[in-house]
Amino acid sequence: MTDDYGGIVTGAKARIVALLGRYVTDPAELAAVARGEPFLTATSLDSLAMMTAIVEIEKAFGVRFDLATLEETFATIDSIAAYLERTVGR
Amino acid sequence: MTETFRSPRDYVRRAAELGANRVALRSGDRATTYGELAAQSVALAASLRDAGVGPGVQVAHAFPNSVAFAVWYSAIWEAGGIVVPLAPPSFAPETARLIADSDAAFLALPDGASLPSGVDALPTSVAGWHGALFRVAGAAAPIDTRPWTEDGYAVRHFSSGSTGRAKHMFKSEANLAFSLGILREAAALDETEVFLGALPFHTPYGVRALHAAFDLGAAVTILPRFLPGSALSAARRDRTTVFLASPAMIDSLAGCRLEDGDEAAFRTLKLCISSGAMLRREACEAFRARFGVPVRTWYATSETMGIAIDFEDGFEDGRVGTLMPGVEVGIFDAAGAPLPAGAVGQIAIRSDGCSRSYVNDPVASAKVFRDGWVFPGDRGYLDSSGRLFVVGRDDVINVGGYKVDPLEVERVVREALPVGEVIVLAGTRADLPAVKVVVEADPARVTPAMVVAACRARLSPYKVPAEVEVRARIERTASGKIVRTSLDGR
Repeated sequence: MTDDYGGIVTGAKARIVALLGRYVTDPAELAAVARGEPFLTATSLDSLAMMTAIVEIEKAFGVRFDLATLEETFATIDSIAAYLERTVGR
Repeated sequence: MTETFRSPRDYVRRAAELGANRVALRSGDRATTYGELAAQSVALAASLRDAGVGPGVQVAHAFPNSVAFAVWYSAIWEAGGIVVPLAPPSFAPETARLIADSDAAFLALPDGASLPSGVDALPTSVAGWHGALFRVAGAAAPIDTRPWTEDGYAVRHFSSGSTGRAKHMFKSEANLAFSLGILREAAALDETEVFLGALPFHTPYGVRALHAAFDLGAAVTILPRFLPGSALSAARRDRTTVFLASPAMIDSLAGCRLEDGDEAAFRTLKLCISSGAMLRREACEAFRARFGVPVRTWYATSETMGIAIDFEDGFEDGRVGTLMPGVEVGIFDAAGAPLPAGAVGQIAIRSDGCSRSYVNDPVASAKVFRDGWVFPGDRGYLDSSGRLFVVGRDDVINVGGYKVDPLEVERVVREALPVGEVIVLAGTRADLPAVKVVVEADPARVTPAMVVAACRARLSPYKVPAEVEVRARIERTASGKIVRTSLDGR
């Protein structure tokens, strides 16, 4: 998988999709996520699974998502990648 | 007792009288004092009364965790109405059915929320405080109840069970006052507490942080949802002293990534409670090792409110501690005979926190409310020193504290798709508890994705199966019974 983000987040989207694949168990839903569709409409993740997935991504990339902006930053694979690019290593 | 009865409806106003400048709510950097909260509630209540909210009138209240949640909740009480808390509409496709079943005459929604699909309601002139009031078409007349008395109904809660649909119950003002009183007494809480409100306030357990804080005149930090990093930041900023958590929250905090200073985030915490599901030993021990604070298991149900709390150190599977003051527990066998200490049976509870029955559900009521006891469906035992142990239950699936009724999921799948047998089991999603569904159907006509889609359209996300198997035939015994071991549930 390629992405538009260089440097430290190269391959980030592929890693995120792989990580989310543990939670999004339906292959069609995971494919929709990988295409950039919003998690809220593309998946049937409950709040517990969503929270745990966020925590795993925080650990994997050494970041912390902010509750105040979570709806925008954790909306799609692209918004996560963009957030990582802004945040990782800062 | 009536002369000295302190109605929960008056907690906010009383706290404001004792200290108008005392902080009631913290949300981000914003603080709302008891004086402000009381003034807003009284003003909104006047508008609600003009619209028709009053004694015996049920108001569905579907706000996310926010200051507006507290203002509208308090205002409905101030107007004499009964709060019917619901999940914010975007999260729960069942909202329309719950409103219809509850006989709510009004629906209060946060700014920007659309009317839930299937709800026939018109806007009223009441709007403000980040919400608006709608009048539900065809609602029943007010019920006969007297607010500001012990028997007055304050809240109508829902509970999952094994009957195929949500069960409703009223909590009286005395139920709430009793359960808050025993928590205050058992944990020695006072007005200096700062609660961390991270659970969804629309649930009976989640709203306890608000109720308990208002009872004490203490503060609540409101988190719109739980993320461990945000909870740690909020606890550090506001110096949290009481955290009502779910086992999933404890698990998450025990293993999440920490930033500088996070280890000290709970240094002011004097009570960390886990309730709603069984806590894992590893999570309990890792949380304590990380933050230096023990996690106390609290056993409570919607029907009974608080039952037991465990202040003993050292984790023991199933132990939920000693009974709270004023709570009586009996253990009974299947025939209803009392069992001695150490024997496992059905747990039954008697206390002033117990509801008396479900609403409009005599069959479920007869099963749960029997002979002056409440049987919430859990199995367990009392040991010789009076400590209660909960062994579990087999009629509901617990998804991180949310109870899923297998029959409800089964009914949805049956109604939506051409299936034969539908088996709903406890499953997993990435090692987390989740729902699993096995259906007997023609794989050419029914796919796992169709089962998931049918559930998503009709059920809250935590009820939607994470695992689905479509089998042309489910294995049966010679007598036709399904071989449960062939289904590979958790």
